[in-house]
Amino acid sequence: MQYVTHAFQAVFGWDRAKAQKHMMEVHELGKSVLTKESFEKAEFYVHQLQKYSLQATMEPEE
Amino acid sequence: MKLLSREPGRLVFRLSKQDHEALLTTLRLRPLFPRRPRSIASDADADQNLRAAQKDLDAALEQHRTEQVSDMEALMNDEARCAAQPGSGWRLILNDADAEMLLQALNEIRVGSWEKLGAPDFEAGQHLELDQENFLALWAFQLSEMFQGTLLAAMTGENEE
Repeated sequence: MQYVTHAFQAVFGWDRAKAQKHMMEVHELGKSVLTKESFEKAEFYVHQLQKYSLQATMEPEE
Repeated sequence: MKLLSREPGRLVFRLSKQDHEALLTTLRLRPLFPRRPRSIASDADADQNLRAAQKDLDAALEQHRTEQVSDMEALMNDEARCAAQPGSGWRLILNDADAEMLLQALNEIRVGSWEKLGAPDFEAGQHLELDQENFLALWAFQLSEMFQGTLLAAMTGENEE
């Protein structure tokens, strides 16, 4: 779990508290909405997260 | 593997001869435990943009992996960063980028070997029957987890809090 927190901090530049909040959502709910961005930026973040071997996907906003 | 010093942008570890051999062996197991293909979206075939993005992701991850394997080999063979110490094992010096690279490499082996084991839920106490098929994967999982935990604790300063 600490690894996921670290990866969120490294990829998004978040402070530890925000990264931990999203990590806990992933842990308890199986997923967390990390950010809402343009297609290109979302694609960039998916690439970065997958380099950390985290299962990240981008979905169109409904 | 023991943390000797932690300064901004610089971690110094002492590795026993056994640690050094185990770390090298673990890192070289990486091709045996490839990750499952990653999807960029839950329905990546849904439209042309996502199909193109999936191709980009596959290519980017493959390139990242290839470069990282080569960079890891260079790191472990660079005497300025990983040097034998007379009578006391090895000294490993990591800057921020090297530490992130080693962390990602160890995690890929950890997750890849766990997937190879059938993704068991160890936290829930799931027991795994050992056999000749899964022994190496379990060994790789446990070693990569141990090294990753030590590295991550050093990077985050966990033990100082």
